[in-house]
Amino acid sequence: MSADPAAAEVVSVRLVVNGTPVEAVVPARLLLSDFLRHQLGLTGTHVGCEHGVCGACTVILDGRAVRSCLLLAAQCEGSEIETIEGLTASGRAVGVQQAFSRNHGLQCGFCTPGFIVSAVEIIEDPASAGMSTGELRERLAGNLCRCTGYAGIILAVKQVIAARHESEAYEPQGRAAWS
Amino acid sequence: MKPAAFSYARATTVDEAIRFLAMHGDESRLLAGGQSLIPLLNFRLARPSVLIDINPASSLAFIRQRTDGTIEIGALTRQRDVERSALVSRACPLLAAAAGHIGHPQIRNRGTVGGSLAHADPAAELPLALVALNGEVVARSGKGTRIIAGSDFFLGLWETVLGPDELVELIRFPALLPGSGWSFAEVTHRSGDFAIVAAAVVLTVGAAGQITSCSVALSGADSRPVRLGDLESNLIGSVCSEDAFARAGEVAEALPFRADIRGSESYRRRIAAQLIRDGLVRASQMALRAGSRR
Amino acid sequence: MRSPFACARIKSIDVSAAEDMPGVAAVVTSATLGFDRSLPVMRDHAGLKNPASPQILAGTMVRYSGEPVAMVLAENRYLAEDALEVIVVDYEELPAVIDASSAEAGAAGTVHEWMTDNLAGSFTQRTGNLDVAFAAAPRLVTFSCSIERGSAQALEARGIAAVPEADGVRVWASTQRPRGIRILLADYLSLPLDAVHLHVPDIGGSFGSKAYLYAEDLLITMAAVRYQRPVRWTEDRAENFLATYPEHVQVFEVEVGAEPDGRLIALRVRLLHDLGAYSPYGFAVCQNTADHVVGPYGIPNVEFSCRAVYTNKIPSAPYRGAGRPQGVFVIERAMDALARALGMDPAEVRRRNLIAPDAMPHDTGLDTPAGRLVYDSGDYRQCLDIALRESDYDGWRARQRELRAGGKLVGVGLANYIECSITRPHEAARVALRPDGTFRVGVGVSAQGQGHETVFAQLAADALGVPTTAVMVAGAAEEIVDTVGTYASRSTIMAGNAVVGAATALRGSLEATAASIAGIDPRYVFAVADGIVPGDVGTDVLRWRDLYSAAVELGLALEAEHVFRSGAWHVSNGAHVAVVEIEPVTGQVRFLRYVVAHDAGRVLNQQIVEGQVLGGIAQGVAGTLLEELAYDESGQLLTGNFMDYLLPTSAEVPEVAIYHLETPSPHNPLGVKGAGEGGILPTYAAVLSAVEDAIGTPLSRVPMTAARIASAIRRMAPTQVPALENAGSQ
Repeated sequence: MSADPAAAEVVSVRLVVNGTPVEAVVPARLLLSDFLRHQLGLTGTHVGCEHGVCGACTVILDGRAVRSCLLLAAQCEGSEIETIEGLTASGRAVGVQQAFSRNHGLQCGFCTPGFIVSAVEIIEDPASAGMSTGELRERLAGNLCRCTGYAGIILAVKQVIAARHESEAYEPQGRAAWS
Repeated sequence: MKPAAFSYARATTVDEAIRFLAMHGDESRLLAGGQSLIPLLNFRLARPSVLIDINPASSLAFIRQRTDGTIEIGALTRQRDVERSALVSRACPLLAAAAGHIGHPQIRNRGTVGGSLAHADPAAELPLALVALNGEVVARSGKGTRIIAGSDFFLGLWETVLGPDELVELIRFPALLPGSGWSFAEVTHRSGDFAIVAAAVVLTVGAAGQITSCSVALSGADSRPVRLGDLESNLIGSVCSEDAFARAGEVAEALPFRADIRGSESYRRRIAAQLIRDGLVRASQMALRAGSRR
Repeated sequence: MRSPFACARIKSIDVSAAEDMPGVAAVVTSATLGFDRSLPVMRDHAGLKNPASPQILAGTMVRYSGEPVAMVLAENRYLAEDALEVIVVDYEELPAVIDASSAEAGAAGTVHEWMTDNLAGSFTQRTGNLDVAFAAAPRLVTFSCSIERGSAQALEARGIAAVPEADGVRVWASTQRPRGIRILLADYLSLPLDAVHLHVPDIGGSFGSKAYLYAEDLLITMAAVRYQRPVRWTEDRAENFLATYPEHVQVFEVEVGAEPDGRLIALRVRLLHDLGAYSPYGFAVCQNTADHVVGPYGIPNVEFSCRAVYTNKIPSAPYRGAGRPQGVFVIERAMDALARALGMDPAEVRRRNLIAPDAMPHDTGLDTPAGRLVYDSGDYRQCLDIALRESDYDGWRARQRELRAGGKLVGVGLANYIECSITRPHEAARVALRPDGTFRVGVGVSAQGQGHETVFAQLAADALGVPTTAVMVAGAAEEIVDTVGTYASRSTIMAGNAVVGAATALRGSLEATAASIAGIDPRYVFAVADGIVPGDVGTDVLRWRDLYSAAVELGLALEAEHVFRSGAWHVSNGAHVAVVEIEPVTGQVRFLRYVVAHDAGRVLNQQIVEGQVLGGIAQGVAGTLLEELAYDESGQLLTGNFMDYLLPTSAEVPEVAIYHLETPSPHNPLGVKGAGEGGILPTYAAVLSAVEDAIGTPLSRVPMTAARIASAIRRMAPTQVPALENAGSQ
């Protein structure tokens, strides 16, 4: 193969996961999702498709929601990663989590961590204020749910955005958007 | 769905990336956003021996404007940053709109402009924008820098003129001319899917309401994004009218279209005709409004 | 390793290179498998004359693309996939039988070399006298239609892990039928049942797809025992498309005989059912179709006949609804066809045929393998009226005319349905008081997101008189023997009533214990949230925790089990109305309104019931418009990933309004019926009905993709097509 010492099948990485520095030696081909689950035991990051469509493996990488199945662990040198465990521990996701629970935004729960991570990015985005239901449906389309039909999820995220931005569109009633 | 083994190299500068490319050539692939490449690795449809990660080369991530108005975007700039850039939205609004149609925000957060162009998916948005906007690609290799016109960049399905030792450094997009209007629209099966067909239109209208310049391009139609040159030359000089645009739609219907699982030839043809007609209407209305403000 | 061919003879398999790969512990093929059995086949139908059992690993023939051929055991999945690439299999590819109609014709050859044709079996279900009825019917309507349901695609694929133990094996499996799988594993591995321990952790969805003993379940457990090492397999998405059984196409020929006023006199349905390459589930799916084809309508003369054929495709198995949506589809297609033929409003035709509430219970006259089909209760007309009123059906009909005049393709579709749960034979529950004063509810059924924990805790808490927080629900509890599993919308009916029975019994015995401790008559004790009050109000509460200690000392019962048995038909019902607008060039469908009137008997938890309905509708809408298992002529799946098999996102599913009617079932103390499938059953019919109403031309197949809708619009006379509008996004 290469005469180049810089290219290797095993790579060492240093990164920060949920605020904790991590050093590891990993196979170059190891996906970040597998690194989080199998090496760090952070099994809240779920793996649903491994081709970047379902969104179950979404994590926050350097402040942005991304698919961890489309990243190599080796690429995360110097990066900061927040998984669902980190967002839960820090309380950053608590509003979204409670709203999901309140609105039956999950059934089997498999897609939920990915949705929560994506939702955290959405609710923290000032551009989300005043988003219509249709816009929110588009905005959340990067995560698949097979159980709920999305009604409870949309409602949950809508409520958190509304509460956060104190919009008059706030509808505290769980069933308001369904009927 | 796990990648076959490969060696991994981190390039922290463009020079380093070029050096790695020179060393590994055909055996290697550049890893930018990875939003198309890593799925291919996971399915083992792509099996490079060496993956050269250019993400550490942060000097490749920028959006800037030259004094002539041209927008320059570094190859490693994330698509989400292009979509949300005030500068791009002002000077090159079609590009921002095109970027906003790529996949989902989680994909655009990672996916890069250079990566999308180099991957050359026939249904992708940024290749279409490059061709429609008369953009140009600045590529570098050990042999030096060359500038490639957007219309020359794509050869076919997942194929560009880039050599195995070459890297996209930056992309230039001319600013929208005064008195111009534009449209970018696509039809997808689901929100965030690759386009069945996408159409980009840029029109400039003169004082008398006649079309002075015009760009009409399609993706999803052929194995690469195409400019509709004949249609454009027919339109230039004519006055904006429903008739003229309806004829343009008919011209589009005469083109050859590819067929795949996302749509048959005839399905694509009809969608393309519709998108072009609607795009011309929208762009011309915008151009006329812009003209009247001048 | 899975077969790349739909039909091929295996000439040789060479795994030596794979065995030498780094990290590889073993490679198993049919030659080294050690079983001479194949996988189980459900033989619950007299009509299944030629059952075909799926192979655990194929040895000489592969009969579908994706059929398991070899298993690599390695340190991790990366290394296992590396090893798969160096296994050399010499296949002789043979012509494949892909299409059900050509399979039936037999000209393309046979899937199973021991058969002379591809007919797995057939059956007929009838009532009345068809020949007389059709001869006398003033109006006749005939049509054909087809529906392909597709794939469950639970977001978590399947998985199994097995750890060897001194005298057996401990298994973690994603299954809907814990006890059945455990018994089968013990049987195949020749282990005593007590040596096989099965845990079912939280499961990421199932929708019917996780109820079978798949080859992987057996292979992984076998490997753990044989190699005395922990073994784990997690199905990835690409495998899920090739390995987890979906439903295939059903093709129908339908004849309807009716009075001029729209009342049906006779219905004849001929079904051609595509089983795929084997019959793991017997006729479960097509029997459900037979049982739902009459629907909520009173039809005196009915004949349903089914021919089931083998094709070179992955075996089929139940997917949420499991044949029921197809039955609903056929009868609702018939209603729309009849309305068109008579020039009547489709709602009115349906109303005239609905069974009246005072005709309940209603005997359909159909004898099924599960006995005479009798509907228990329901007010079908009221459900339809609610749906029509709440959707503003009449208003839409009026607006539709105006909108059409303005060139908009707006359509209204509706569908009524019944949902028969399969209850038989039993489910048990055990409720126990624990040392800390809380209660444990053990049930045999496992949950995959249906909310069992919530509902069973609620039921037990109500029966015990304690807060739900004092109740913990353990699903798939190994001590529960009288259990079958979670499917066919049966869990709340069966396990729910068992929980109430067990909790009530426990409360009685704990009250008796408290009375004996206090030395008073059991009639004077009563339970409160904290414990039991032995005597009048004001007496100190004997707290649950203390009661536990006292009962242990006295050797009295701390738990109670109850088995709920039923073979009765629990029949839910409802009506859906869909209003859609269609973009004429793309054929894409936008929902303007979607209304559900739903009656699943007593509603125990409204949010959970509505969650089931909404989830079912999302799946049904996508199954109608987006999702398709497309095969090429050689039997390769063309849509085996999430880019091409189009699960709906939040942007594609409609906003849904749900209205409940609660007609209790007389067959169980709670009065509940099944609610897990009602959402999906009528969706295919309602959406297709709306689409064809919008474009003004009959459509006959599902999935009805946007491209197919567009081409149906193009085939219409140009004058019928409204002018193009300047739509589109920017």
